[in-house]
Amino acid sequence: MTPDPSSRPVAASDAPRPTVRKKKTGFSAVWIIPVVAALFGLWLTWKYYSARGPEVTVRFETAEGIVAGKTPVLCRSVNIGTVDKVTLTDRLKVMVTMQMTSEAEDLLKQDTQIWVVRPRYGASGISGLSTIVSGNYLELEPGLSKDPRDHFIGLEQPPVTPKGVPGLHLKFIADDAGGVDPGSPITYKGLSVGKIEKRTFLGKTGQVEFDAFIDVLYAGLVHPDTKFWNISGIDLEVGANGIKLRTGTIGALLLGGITFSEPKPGAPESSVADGTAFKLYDSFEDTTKFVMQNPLSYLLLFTESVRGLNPDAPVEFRGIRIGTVEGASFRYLPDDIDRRVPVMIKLDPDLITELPSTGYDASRDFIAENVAKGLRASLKSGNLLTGQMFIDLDFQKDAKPDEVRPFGGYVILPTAPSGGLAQIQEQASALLAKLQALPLEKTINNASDALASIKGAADDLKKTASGFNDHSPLYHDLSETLRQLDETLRSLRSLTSTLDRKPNSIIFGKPGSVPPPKGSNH
Amino acid sequence: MPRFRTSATVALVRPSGASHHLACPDCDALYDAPPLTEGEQVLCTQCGASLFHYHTNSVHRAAALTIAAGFLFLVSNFFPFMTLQAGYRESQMVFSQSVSGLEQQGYPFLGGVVAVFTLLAPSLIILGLTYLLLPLLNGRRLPGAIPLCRWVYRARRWNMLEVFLLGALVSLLKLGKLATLTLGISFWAYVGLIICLTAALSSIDYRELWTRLEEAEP
Amino acid sequence: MELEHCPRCHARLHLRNPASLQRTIALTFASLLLYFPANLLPILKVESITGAQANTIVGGVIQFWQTGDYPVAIIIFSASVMIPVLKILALSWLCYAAKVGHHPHGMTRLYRVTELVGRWSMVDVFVVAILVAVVQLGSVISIHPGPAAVSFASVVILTMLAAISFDPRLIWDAAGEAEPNE
Repeated sequence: MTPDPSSRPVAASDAPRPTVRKKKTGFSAVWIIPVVAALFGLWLTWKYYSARGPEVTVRFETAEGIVAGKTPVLCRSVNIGTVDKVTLTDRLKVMVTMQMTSEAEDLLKQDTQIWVVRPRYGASGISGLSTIVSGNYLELEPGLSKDPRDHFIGLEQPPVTPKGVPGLHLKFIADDAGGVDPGSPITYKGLSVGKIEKRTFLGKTGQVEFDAFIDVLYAGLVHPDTKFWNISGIDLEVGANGIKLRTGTIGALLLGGITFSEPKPGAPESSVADGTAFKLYDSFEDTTKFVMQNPLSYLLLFTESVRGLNPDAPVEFRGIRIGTVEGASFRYLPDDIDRRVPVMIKLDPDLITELPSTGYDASRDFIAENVAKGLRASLKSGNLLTGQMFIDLDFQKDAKPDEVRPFGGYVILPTAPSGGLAQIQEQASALLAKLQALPLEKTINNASDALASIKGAADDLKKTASGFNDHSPLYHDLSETLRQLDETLRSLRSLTSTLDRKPNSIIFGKPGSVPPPKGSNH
Repeated sequence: MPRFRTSATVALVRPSGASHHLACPDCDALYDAPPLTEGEQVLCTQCGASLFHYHTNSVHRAAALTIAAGFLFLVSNFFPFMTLQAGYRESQMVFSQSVSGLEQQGYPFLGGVVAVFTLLAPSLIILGLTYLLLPLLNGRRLPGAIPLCRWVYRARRWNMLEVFLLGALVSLLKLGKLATLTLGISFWAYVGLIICLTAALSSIDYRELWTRLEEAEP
Repeated sequence: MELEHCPRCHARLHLRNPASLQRTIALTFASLLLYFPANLLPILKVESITGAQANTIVGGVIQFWQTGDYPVAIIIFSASVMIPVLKILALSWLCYAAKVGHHPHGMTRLYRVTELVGRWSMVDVFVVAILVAVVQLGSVISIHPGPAAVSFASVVILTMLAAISFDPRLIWDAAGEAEPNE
């Protein structure tokens, strides 16, 4: 089969030439390969561009930790895009351009929120710690709106509750922010049931408004008459009812927190609409204070010293609180020879009328009627130790006939002199007996022990804090907190001698809650 | 006399072109240049080197494969070659970033070396072969073809696409424990590129290319 | 034959590669010198949250071996450690053979293998290039090339240049002188 090279034909001179057909050099099968390669290239290009979604821009205050080409955009930890470039606008804002994937297209709505996840220290604790390891990223929270959007304004703080999470959105109005920040927990019987989302200062009224979110599981606990109060910090109150010390958990002490009252037994299952505003009380005590819808105001005129009678002191009828002292004034009435001290009180009409309650005017008439029968107001000492006073309303047997008189827009309710020496003697002896029974020394020892350990904890915290960079906001916040804690401790120490409760049980829990030591039997 | 391996076709090509002699590039043995038919190969009897291989349908095959390689080269340089995932972060690498990455790290020499081996040499081969082979299909030769052909065959030695592929596979294994490294779409184009380019180069003997260039109309 | 040009490709013609042996020996020696820093210095610096770590070539091989990736360990070891050494040895032997002219068949085959295999040593340089490009995650993990990468790339390039400048015909010349009947 193999032709011998030497026997190859040499062109013969005379022989006729055969027809030589040139081999067709047209398309051979090899050309399929570049066609396939080109198709592959086109397919890849198509696939690449079809997987690309829209390009969107977000405006931020700072581009801290955002790297062009690296920083991912996540939604529920799923990668839906990457930061393409970071530019500075002419108004010194940062414009971040992101290349989204095609599946992100449906997430870019009018109310979509975008923020940077970076390590943060805030009211809800330290968050974004994982980004120390993984690097910062942009988090996108899809909106519920139907209109698309391609330019966003980034949030500087992450929203506490994602949009669309079922639950109850409430508003709280408080006179004082009292250490409650966005992210502060709302607890109910020690369970975290919601969070504060936003804090705004209402310039007009000088109040603070909080936006809060309650998880859907606990939304039913909120009723129209639910009372919310602040459990941030240590609440120490010295009043006619004695000394009260209240704290939330140590966490709430440092981070601020809000809790609310139990629904009243038998209260109707009335739900609260989204966006309902509630008053945020400064303390639990405040919630028990008289909140009168239509208070009856009366003016009392005393000849005695009103030392110890503070605003908010109770007005009682035979030991039942029916009203509140509004305030005492030093301004004497012009035509009063006795130079009596005017004291404003407010009475709750709902508590003093005959049952069933008949309303404002009926209550006013009822008071007037009873004053004619001998109802008088008098100053009483509520707590000899602290010198707090309260107003007692009672029928005086030997009262001179008198009546409710209007005076310059006010209504004067007649007064009677207080009990005098007999009452003081009686109370003094009762006090002596009480004093003997008080384990004062033990209490003080416990209190100073507690203080020492709190101080130790604070020192430790300070040591930890000194490890942080002293320019970082985390350090600043922490040192501020520590300073406040220090101040609190200092004022606490000065009050130790008057404490009549054991604060250590609040901080360290009941003695029984200490876990039993582990057995070493094997 | 050199040995032959043959298959029967008509076209005759003398490996040495106009000359009647053939020298072994390795051992310098001199031979009479035999006319060959498609599929035949000439081997040096002294040292065994392949002196000439007349491939079947060589010009068409080489041209087709070169163009395919060209497409794949474009694709593999345009799309991400590898993607690294660590946590939420993703880092994509386009082929040319292996060069720019080294340069940014302060190693311009290394970057240049990698650029020559993986970008410059392959593109010179692909572009050069396209410039030479496409006109040859019509028996023509474009200006500058002769020095270009010399450069194309010099660049062959410095084309290290397949070594880079091995490097990519080793990197995959090396990083396997530290982070997730996934192959991008251009990786597969890259594998195709290596196959096509190697096939294109081996489907035409360069002495045949010389002969054809010589015989082509300028 | 001085300054003659090839009628086909217009390349300058030489009877033998000019100063072939000198160049080959010089380049081989240079690559031998660079081989030491290439293997002693770190080729990769890995900076991660767990700390910085510098890897030498052999360290990388040992790491692969310990983690059980035997094929990779063998590939890296042969490409990065063995091939350069063997190539330097082969080139020296070829230079010696070109002087003495023994075993021209075997030597030519050795030359071909040397030329073919040398390029695969670049694999470690490419691994560095890829890792440096792809592993840039800031504080998480980032990889930087080490000084050995430069010397290693130089070793590979120098041995390749040495192989190119070596003229295998010299072996046959020497063999022809030694045994004219060969």
